[in-house]
Amino acid sequence: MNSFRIIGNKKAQFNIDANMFSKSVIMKVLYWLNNDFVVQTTSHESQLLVELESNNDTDWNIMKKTISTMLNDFQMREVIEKETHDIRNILYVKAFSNIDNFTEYDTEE
Amino acid sequence: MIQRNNSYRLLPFKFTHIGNKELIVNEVGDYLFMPNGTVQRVISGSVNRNTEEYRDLLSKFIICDSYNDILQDVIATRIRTKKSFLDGFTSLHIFVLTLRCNQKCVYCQATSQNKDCVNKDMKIEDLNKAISLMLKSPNPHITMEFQGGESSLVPSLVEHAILETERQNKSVGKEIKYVICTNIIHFSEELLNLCEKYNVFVSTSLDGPESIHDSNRGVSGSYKHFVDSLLRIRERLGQDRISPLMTTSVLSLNYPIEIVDSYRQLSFHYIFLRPLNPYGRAKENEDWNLYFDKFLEFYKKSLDYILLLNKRGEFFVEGFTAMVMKKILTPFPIGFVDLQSPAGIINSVVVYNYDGYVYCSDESRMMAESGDFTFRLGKVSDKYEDIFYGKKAQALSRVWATEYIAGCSDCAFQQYCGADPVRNYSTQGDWYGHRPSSLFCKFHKAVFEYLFELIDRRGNEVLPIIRRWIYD
Ligand code: SF4
Repeated sequence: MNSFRIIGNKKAQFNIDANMFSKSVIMKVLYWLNNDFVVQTTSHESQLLVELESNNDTDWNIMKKTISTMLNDFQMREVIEKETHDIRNILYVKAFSNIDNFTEYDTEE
Repeated sequence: MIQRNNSYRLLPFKFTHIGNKELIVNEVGDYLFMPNGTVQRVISGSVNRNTEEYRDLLSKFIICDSYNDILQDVIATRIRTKKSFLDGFTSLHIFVLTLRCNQKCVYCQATSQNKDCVNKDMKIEDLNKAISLMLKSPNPHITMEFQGGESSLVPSLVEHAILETERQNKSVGKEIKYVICTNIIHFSEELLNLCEKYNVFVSTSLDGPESIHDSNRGVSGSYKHFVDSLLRIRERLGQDRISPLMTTSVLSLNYPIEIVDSYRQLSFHYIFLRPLNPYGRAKENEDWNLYFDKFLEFYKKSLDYILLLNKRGEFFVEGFTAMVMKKILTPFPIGFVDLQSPAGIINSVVVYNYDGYVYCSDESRMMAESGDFTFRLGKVSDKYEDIFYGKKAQALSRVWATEYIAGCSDCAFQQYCGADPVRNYSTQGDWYGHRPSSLFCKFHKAVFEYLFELIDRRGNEVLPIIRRWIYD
């Protein structure tokens, strides 16, 4: 995240470098922000411009740190998910694979 | 995949920040508190073998030396154990025998009707069919719970339900536990005899001292009737055959200590601190954000007081904390349907309503009273398979697990929390829900954070007490 600009009490803008963070990581961060803020995004080549607007007064210095932590955390979660995706599937398949009395029911609405 | 020079592998885990530490939770809910920056070091491969940190991460299944078969089997068995509440399928079968009630509770979630109202009792034919459905459940252990309205207003229906269940169960052979949910305001000799004969457990409600209890009931004299009946029931059935639930009204929020003390005065050793749910009459009158903020403070004050009582040598359990801590501290699941994933609806609980229809939870049938039949699964005369495995149940299953819905799928508390499409729909307008604006999420996250802070800061003091609650 760079160029964090505070516009009055209620608005802030910043850029995210899409080469550094995947779309999924960025979307997850914005997902958690969109309860407290109206979130608007615009793309300029590899830069994503994010604008946050709130009805309430916001401590933007705290917010800047929070967003930066969220970006890093979701990026780490993405690494963990990618690396453990297959083994997690295997573990769940093994956990439930020995249910031998499973019946397929023919159901209708 | 990252190639680590010291060649350990990652296992699936989640993390969050609590205070100035990282809380790391593995796929089966085992946790570790580590210094900030640990996760970064773990994923970048910087954790050195032959260190205590390495051994901690290894023993908590955060990392492993290799994905070998033995390790896979151990973790798969742990997952299976954690999800073993699914094994038998629906265990709690709620029968709403009547919608009529003799109280006017300020927070009534059951859209109860006046006690003289007509057409609000279950028909015998529907009751018999509902019992047949219940006995088709694959679960060998069934809890049949009579709810209302006020079930003590229909003693003959309660009696019929028990006798018919006993009759039909002769050829089925399930273990059946009967529970009657009642305010015990007028608990007749007839019902007492029935409870004695069939080992019926009495689940009642006590909201605190007389002034709070009566104010919440909306009827004066309720508390006195409650105490009279409590003594009669205890004398006939035994001390442990009746247990109350507490619902925290807006008024109750100011009296955490007094409410706990009112339970102690009546020789109860257990309280379950339960917030209001945004259903029924309660839905109309609250600023829910403010209510849940205040409830959290109420919960913390009450819990602190209860922990102090225990430290002084009195055994007194807070049920909600005990449930959550069981999920955190043991490999086992709990029977609390709000905190299950896959959700408690259908998997653990189902409701046969007085109107002859089957609903997937208590909240679902309450919505039906206001004309919304979204969670109606079918009629009691429908085929078991069409109700329990039908299209609606299948559609719900796509949104009922914390493991895969947005927000929850990354959350460190995923293994302790629950998914509830009915609550999502009722409060947010869709089954899937939006975690950032969900009060369920906000509240439970705050509780988990508080309990983990407690473990981290006061673990030596509180964990022995809480372990007694869980294992006693
Ligand atoms: S509801 Fe909230 S606290 Fe619970 S698992 Fe989902 S994101 Fe986490």
